[in-house]
Amino acid sequence: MGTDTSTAGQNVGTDTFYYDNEIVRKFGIATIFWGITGFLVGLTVAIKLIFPNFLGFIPELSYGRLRPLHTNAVIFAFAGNAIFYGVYYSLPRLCKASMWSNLLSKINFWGWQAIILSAVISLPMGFNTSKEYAELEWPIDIAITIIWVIFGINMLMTIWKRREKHIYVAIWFYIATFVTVAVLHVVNSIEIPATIMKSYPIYAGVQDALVQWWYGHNAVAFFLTTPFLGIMYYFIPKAANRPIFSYRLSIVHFWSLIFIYIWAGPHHLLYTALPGWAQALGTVFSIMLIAPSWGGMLNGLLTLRGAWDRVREDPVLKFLVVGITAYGMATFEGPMLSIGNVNAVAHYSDYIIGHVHLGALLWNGGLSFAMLYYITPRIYNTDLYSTKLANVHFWFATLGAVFYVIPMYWGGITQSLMWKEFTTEGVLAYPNFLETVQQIIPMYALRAVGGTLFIIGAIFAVYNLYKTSKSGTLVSQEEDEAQPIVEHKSENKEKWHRRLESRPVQFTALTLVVILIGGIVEYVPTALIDSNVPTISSVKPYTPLEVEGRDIYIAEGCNNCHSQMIRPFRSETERYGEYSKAGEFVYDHPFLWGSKRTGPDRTCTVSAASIPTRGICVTWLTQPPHRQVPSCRLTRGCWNKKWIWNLWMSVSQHFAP
Amino acid sequence: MKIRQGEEDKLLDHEYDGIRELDNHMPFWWLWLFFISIVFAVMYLLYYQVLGWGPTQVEEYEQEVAAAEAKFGGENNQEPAANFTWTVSTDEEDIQAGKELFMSSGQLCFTCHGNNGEGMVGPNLTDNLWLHGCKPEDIATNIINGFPDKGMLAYGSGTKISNEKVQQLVSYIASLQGTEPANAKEPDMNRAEPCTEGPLASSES
Repeated sequence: MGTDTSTAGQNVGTDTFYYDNEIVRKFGIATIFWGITGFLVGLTVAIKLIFPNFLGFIPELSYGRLRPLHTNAVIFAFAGNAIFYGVYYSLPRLCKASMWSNLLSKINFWGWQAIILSAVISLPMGFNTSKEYAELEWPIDIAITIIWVIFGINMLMTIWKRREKHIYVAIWFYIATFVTVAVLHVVNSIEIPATIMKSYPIYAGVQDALVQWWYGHNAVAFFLTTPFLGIMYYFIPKAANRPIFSYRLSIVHFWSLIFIYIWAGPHHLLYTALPGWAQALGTVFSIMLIAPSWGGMLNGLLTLRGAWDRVREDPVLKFLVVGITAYGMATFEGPMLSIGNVNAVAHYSDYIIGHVHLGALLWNGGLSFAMLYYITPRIYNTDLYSTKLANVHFWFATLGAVFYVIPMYWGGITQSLMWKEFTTEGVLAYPNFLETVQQIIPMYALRAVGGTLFIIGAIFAVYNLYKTSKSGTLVSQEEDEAQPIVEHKSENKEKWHRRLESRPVQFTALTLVVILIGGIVEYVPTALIDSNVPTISSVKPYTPLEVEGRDIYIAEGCNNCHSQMIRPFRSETERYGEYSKAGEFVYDHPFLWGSKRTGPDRTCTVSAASIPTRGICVTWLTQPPHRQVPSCRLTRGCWNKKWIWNLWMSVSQHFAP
Repeated sequence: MKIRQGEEDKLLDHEYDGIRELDNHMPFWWLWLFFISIVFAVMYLLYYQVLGWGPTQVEEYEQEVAAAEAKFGGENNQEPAANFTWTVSTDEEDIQAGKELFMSSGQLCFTCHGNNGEGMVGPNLTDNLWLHGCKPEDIATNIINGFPDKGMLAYGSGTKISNEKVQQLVSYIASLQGTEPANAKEPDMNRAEPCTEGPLASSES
């Protein structure tokens, strides 16, 4: 350890320490394993949209239950493990220190896998909160909190014990990720347990919607964006062997990104019953987000100046470049989709599915595969088994994503315009919702082809990485050495941000303040000022029977395909009835507005003449007149008439005048 | 790290695991993009929220509805059913069009009355017995209003169609008279009455 052999007052001896590559390897395996699992679940639900009875004989594999499993698997299992993979590899190297506690690393790993496993079991069983990307029930929410905090402690303590005086930009993004995800998860998951696997959120209606999409949007921001930007800031310069283009750009885009992102959640609720001012904030902060997002893209791509020839050969750089480019496209598209009249067409349609997969497949997927191809040979002290195969994978992944995204754009716009089309007599041109679904089934088929290509590529990666690992031996503890931090009076006073970079505690505290502002400004008035949610005297609390029906609606995941939110457009009020108002939802724990209409809205099918139509509803649910809706005989408990009765009562009675 | 020619003096002195950083300016156009987006945001908020010049979503909706009413003459430009002259057409094209409506997923008649009108949940439409009258105007009114308490929505499924189309549907139902399909539903003799007047009245009874 450190011995004083100072020369010129600089060298004060070096410490020897070790990087734990074993944990990195574990997270790498988990990344690819859960990745392929999540992709296959995605493919299954994609096939169900073409052949609705595919696997339909198993209630646990019905669309409504698998869709949350798909989103949770790819976000928290695939991208989540990829984040840990990147952080556990890059953080100790950037800090020139071992991870603070290898025990906490292990708890982080096994705890996270246990959480994923519990999701894999509980979601198909119908334990589901209905809140998107937060579907897991309360005991699992608590487990997530504990494991996430363990990860955070391990990370922050490693930073605390670092041998590098300043923290690098990648670490800023890791800190922001930890702090914000913790806040988002805890606030959005405040719920009252009813049984061991059932809870009701404390928020209702409009407030619940606002909190949920503050969470949902920022899960994209702080789980799928900031950690991957951190990863980009480490792996781009390492793989290209070029310096980061602009330190100043890093500072400006980091702070502006994390400050602005948190405000943008309401853009998921445009034209809904959310108060207009909150919607407007969602729109303008989304627009202001273009530049901060592109700052990251520019700093990544401009770092490659002079290294583009290497991009042609190196699969790591290829995946990084395509990932960053897709990030740039998706972060331009996002703000555009936040403009009211664009959103009016795109929302509830498959366009959004295309948009998120552009980011998920290429940005998160691309960066994850880049890391796998970069790290695996290094920790096994060998070369990649086949660069050629990795390049083939790259093309499968890229073309797969293109074949996925373009049909979704096409189909989404087609269907949405059909919903909105009126005949020359002023009536809906396609009054039958199903007709608009059938129109885009070819697009669903093409999308499944794209997804399949992407998965085939990932399987090539498994083989390639396996062969790579077999050709070398794991360096489970990699030795490195560095000098401890020496405090010496600098003759040049450091600039403020440079000083901040050497004070991780202040840095973390400042990050926390910056990310809290937007959420507080949007939430507090919505919750406290009555005029935001005008009351409607006829809206009464749900009866126990209705609550039971809502529980079924939630457990079966009906909200994955049906909205309960009629926007104030003539095309919607003609089709579904009077548009939704904030006051209708004051007893909705949770809100069930939905975000995608694979089937029609389910608010007012039910209004007015609805209650007497129970009879037809029972027939519909047990023997759907069209093949796109899975018969409820195939889902849990449908043989029980009470089931359908309750379900019907819950939706109909509540909204009837 | 490889440094491009001419950028050596922009290299910052720090290094992280071999990673260096340059002190380049932020791209000029990027900064302007940021400034312009901020200006846009301020203007947008002023226009729609602070000054209230732009329409709210409810105002937008009201304008849209008003425009549609001006163009199509109110919520319903259709002649009221009562004023319409209901007849039974024997024209093959009308009957075929009526059959398509009967079988369509827009109206869904077949789900309760059977593919051939033989009756399932709903009554048999092919025999000479009727629950709610057999004159064309009766049948049309029943289609238009439905029997919500029995499970039949207005227009069968709640999806509105023109009077002309209802006429075609009536014509198709009339054409089913006496077809005697398989699995015909037993009539409810307590309620059913034979048809005695109008074009569907059977000469046999």
